[in-house]
Amino acid sequence: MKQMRAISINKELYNQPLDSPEEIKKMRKMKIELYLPPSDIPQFIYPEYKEKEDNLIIEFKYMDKEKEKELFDRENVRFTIGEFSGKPLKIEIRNIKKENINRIELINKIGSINKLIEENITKIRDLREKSNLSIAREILSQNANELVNQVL
Amino acid sequence: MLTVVLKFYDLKEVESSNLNILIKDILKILVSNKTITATVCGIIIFLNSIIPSWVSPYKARNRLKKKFVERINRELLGDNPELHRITLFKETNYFCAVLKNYRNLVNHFFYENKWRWRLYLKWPKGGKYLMVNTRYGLQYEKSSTMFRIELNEPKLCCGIAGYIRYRQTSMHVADLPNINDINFKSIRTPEEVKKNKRKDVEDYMEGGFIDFNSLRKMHRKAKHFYGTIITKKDGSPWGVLLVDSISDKDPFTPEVKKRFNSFATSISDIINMEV
Repeated sequence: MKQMRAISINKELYNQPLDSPEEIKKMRKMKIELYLPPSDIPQFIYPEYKEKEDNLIIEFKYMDKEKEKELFDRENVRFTIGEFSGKPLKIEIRNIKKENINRIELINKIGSINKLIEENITKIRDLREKSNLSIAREILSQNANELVNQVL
Repeated sequence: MLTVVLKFYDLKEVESSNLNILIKDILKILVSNKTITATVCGIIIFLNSIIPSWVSPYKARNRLKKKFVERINRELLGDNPELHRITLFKETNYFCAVLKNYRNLVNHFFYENKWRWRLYLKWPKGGKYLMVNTRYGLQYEKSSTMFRIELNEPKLCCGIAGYIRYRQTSMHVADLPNINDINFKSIRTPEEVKKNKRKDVEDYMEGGFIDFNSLRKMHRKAKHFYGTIITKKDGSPWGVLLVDSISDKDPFTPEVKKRFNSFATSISDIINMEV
């Protein structure tokens, strides 16, 4: 395993207005835009492989320390989000060595995490949580190669 | 107090002194309850020495918040406190909201717009409220403004600050109609607004998430707004940071919004710092 380092993310993703909720869509004449708040913008993401537990942990680092809540734990992937904001906090991928996961498989695994996130987004009604998860998906897609390069 | 009591330690000395009868009686009570008097004096001296050291970090934090909201105006908005106003709203409980409401009622008897006192007669609706914690701007710095926090129904949100709190996001509202020239003193319902201005008032109420009674309470009807939710250390909402502007042109360019966000992060840090 290689020496891991923080990966800076594309913060421009957070400058895009969110999809307007129904009550704002109705106000056609007004210019009203919603954005994710600055507290939801990660400073960077940090991958860490834990040899003993055979876990890869991808942590999203923020200025604050929000309480955690589990979004899902399926297919050896545990995804944790902020209790109030729904921002991604931690992704834990288990059994990296045990299942002999190679580069391509790990990239596919990250792709499958995105599918699991997508499944959960459809169930969520809260705009902030939904938008945070959408952006988490984009961040993972944009940085999949870099993450894999650091781990394997 | 202690020195006075010690001087008249003996009851006989108190009796024989030339003091006023009332003072003599008080001294008699104090001297005949020496232990209690000494204990109370000790507690007062102890608290007097310790309380300022508890309070001063909070005072320092408030000064810092004030400085930062001032800097938002100076560095992002061209230092024009008349056009742009920066307000930090804090969530408060229902009890405080009721007290504030009726304090506003009394205060308005002494203000220029006395007629507004009637607007505070109604008992406030239950729930938490957003109240002005820190403000920078020349107009209405000591504000009576408060917005009820709605948790379930967006249509019931009160004000742009209330809507930001409901969605827990950042929000930009631009180019609301200019209705500052309407005097709401004798206008009690939207239907009483002159026909040529009625549409503007309705649009303002819709885009500003404000009902007519709250609109009448507002002293200044800004045209442009930008604000964001401020959170506590654990991620739960603390309040809302909001800029309102009466300038003709929307001042919130993408660059201003980006820099505002970094000020908002610093203000969150100040609020959450250990004291």
